[in-house]
Amino acid sequence: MAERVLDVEGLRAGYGRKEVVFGVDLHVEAGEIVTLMGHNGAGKSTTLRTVLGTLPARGGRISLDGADVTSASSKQNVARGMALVPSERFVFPDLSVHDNLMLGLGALRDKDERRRRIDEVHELFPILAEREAQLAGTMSGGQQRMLSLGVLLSTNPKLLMLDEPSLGLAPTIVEQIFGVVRRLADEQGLAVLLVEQNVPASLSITDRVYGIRNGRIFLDESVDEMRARDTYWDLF
Amino acid sequence: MTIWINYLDQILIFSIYALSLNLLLGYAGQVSVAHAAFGAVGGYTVVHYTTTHEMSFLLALFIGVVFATVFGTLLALASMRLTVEFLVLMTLALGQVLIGVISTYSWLGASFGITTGVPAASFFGWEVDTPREWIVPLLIMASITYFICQRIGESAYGRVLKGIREDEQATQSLGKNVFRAKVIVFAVSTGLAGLAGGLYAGYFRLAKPQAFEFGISIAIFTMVVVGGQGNLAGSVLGAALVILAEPFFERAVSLSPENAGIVRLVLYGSLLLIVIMVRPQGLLPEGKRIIGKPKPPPAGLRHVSATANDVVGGDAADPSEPVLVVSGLSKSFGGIVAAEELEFRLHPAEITALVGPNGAGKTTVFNLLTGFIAADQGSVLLRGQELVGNTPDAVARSGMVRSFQDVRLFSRLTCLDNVAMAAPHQSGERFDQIWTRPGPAAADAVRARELGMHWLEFVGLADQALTPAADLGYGEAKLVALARVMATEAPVLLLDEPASGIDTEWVERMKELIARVRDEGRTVCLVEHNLHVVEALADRGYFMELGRITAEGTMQELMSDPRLAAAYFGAEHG
Amino acid sequence: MILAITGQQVRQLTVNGLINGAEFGLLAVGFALMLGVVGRFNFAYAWIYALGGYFALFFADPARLGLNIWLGMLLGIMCAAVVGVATEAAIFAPVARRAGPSALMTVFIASLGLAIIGENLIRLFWGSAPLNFFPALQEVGFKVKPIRSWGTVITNVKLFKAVSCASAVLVVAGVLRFTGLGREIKATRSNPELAGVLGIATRRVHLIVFAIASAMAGLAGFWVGVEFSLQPSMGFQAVFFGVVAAFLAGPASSPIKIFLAGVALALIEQYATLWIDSQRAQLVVFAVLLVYLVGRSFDLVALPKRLLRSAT
Repeated sequence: MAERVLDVEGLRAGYGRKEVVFGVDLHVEAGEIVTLMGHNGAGKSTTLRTVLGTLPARGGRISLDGADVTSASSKQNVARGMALVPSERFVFPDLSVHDNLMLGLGALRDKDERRRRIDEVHELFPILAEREAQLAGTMSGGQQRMLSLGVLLSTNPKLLMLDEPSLGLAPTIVEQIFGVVRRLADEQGLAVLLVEQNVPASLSITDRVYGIRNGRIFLDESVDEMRARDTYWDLF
Repeated sequence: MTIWINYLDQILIFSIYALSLNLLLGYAGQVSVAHAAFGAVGGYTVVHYTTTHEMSFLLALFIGVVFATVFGTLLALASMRLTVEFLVLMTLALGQVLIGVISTYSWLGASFGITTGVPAASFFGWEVDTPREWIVPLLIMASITYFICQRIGESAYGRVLKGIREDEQATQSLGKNVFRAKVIVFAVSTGLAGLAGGLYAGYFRLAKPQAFEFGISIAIFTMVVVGGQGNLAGSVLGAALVILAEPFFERAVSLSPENAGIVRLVLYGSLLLIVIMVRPQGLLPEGKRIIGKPKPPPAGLRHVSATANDVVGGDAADPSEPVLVVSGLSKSFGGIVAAEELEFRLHPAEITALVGPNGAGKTTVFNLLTGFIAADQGSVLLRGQELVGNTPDAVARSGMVRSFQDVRLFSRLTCLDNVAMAAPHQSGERFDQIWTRPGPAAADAVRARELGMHWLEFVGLADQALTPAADLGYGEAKLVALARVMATEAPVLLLDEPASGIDTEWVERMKELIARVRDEGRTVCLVEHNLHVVEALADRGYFMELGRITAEGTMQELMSDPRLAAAYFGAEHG
Repeated sequence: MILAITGQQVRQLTVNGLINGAEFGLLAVGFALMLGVVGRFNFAYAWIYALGGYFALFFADPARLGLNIWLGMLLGIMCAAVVGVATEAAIFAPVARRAGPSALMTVFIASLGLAIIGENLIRLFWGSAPLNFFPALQEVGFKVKPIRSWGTVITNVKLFKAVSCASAVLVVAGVLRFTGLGREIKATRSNPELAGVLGIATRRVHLIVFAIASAMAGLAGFWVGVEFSLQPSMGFQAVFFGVVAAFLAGPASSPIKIFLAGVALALIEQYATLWIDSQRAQLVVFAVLLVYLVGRSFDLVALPKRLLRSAT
């Protein structure tokens, strides 16, 4: 069994007086793509944001590569190899594509390494190389999605969290983006935690599925078990 | 001794200023950094008419108040849709222009003002000139102002103002005419500022630009913030503190008058800063008076004036006849179609669900139905009455009320006030009636409070009646929001994700309550992503994708259609 | 009333407008950075402006420390920056955190209090009478000279002021455009949540923005002190023009655009003196603002968009 990159136990989280996540257990192994499914408001995005550290955990334990990061800041977690692509507002609209990518490189000073990472992103999404000088906000929705993924990949993550990456995109774009994610998981051992409403699309790349309802995990199934279901209505 | 009487007079004058600003800032949440400039309208009017036209002081004062009121009304109309930072700029610029324009006219004394030849003021033939003589008239004027502000602020009307302060749209969604309320509160507030300015001019027998400049407006602002926004006694206290700082430093600390003036300003600046940093609610926090509490509590007598049957079942609706008929309803934003040719019906005492994938436009439908977004075309008939083109508050008063996904309670108001505010037909919310018919207004307030308690009991939160909404857990807040829409007595309720984001036990409770809402005879339209809730509750459903309604049927029918499943969960591909 | 307007008059007013406009534009850029990036409606900016001048004089005046005036200018600017950063760190940030959704208004009130305190502290330390840089200027042998061309007259000090202000704006624009720091500032303005997700230390960015904006105000305060004199309340008028320019251009616009808005306002003010006396000419600027605000209030074109945004 591969090592667990992310391990979450009994996570509780919320906003102000609004508690949303009431004890979530999940894990993601290296090279594994895991999907978190559930209705709107079930606590999926809250779970991702708490794992990254932009929201404080109110209980439970989060570990990354075996190290306890429950109370780490998002800055520390990004430095340790976490990345989250938010479900909306996922680019800097009034900055150029190039500037967006540079922001992903953060404190990296090594010029060659910077170049190398940007080239990698350009290789994954050639359109970004063509549009280097364009303002991100003027690109199509699909291109912005690719850019956001490129920005987060340029941070060189071990764990990539994607919040509804297919929202509002044409099927071919979804396929292209998901193809890149699967490839990175297979080739580089990237661990991926995916939140997705589009069940068939996510089943095409995922290894395992968690079901979440009212802030609790109620289901943990392999992709084959999921495929064998005749309806998904009871997941939502 | 005379000098202290002098300060007392000034405290009274500035109390009027501070009370008038508090009504605007503390109750209605609107900003003015030009209250002294509104005072200038009153002050210059008084001095001009009493000096040049030899008018009686009281008449001139009255005209000054009228001018200031007109001015405030125009300001309110011009700045209706400005957000807070622009309202700051607007009043700041207006104050500068007003004082600037006044000081260009030589007949108003240009930049020196009118400082000579102003006759002493007189009230009904009684001439008042010395500070001692001024005490009584100023005390009367300040008391009248306090009374006016209290009658407006601490009533059902004031509760609507606080609703505007907390959440304008939510207030509107309960059927309150927020536009009118805002204009009126601006008018009253600036009128009272004009009164203060007129009295100031009469008291000092002068009107000069420096007496009404920006710094004075800021001093008034400080009095309100330090004393406590939304607390009228606080404004009087704030006025006293700021005014008395001067003699305190001159006498008690015996600084030179020049340094005392500077230290005084440092002190009141510090007071403002410290209050904002450590006690933002001010020295005296907002009152928790219960509006509509019967004076002698009727021992043992608890009559619930309105049960659901009184309200809704009255016209014994024919279940086959739809309550709401929507046809051809369309809306697009800059070429993007948000709703296209929507057709659907809501049947009485039924729960109808709108289901569909994210981004299908379900919340947009609620916004279109309730007038928060104006439809491009189409018709919404509520029991035969056309609603398209009406404002959101008019729609709510016609009998269709929506809730919000993100709850939007009035967070600084108690749960009881949140729910009682929703009660319809409160004469205490009519500006004219709080003056002309205080009796019925008070009776209505009692009725509204009882109605509020009734619906809080309905959702099982009567014990939280006096808890501020901000202190509730999210599950409780969702229930209070349900009680709030129930209290509007509207026969048609649009519930936007009532069960999202709450723990399982609250979901079960919510499910039970919504079923009871239907059993009480109300018609419910439900948008909810938790399909277990929808399945358990909905009598029928409409399926929405990309702004269109593509299927209709029972939930079982909809969920067994493979095409809809594909639309909901995403198309198979690859 | 018809006045004969000569070409020479218009040229002189244009030059005056450009010189004042450079200062207003500089202040507008600083104010817009604080508002656009950090979300602070900072009324105490006028105090920071005066403080820059007073600190510079403290360092440069022969009767005080007597340093070289240009060194004094740099130290004055640095002091302004330090005080600006301190106000954000010690006052505005905690106040905003506590106020939550009403942060903008609460910070505005706090900045009002700070402005009152600040102006009067200057009075206590330096007195209320105007102070000038003449002794300090004499120390370095600097002479105020008139410069004449195209039939217009200005002083060399005015020219230096305008050039320094415009250069400072260019430097800031360059930093925003070409450096990593500028990218982080723009990222924080553009999408603070995503900036946080990428591990950008937005708190640090906020403090840097306050340092930059306060240094800009200090620079302007110094030059106005040299041009005229230092007075405790000197900042209010100029900063208010800056605020108006920042809002007219939009607080998230590029520095160049905001700067030009400041210049345009100053030109309007100058040209207005052709018809009304110069003391009242500033009213025209407020009138422009009023017209803009009323237009904004009734903006029916943007209305559906606003409603959609607030309703969803």
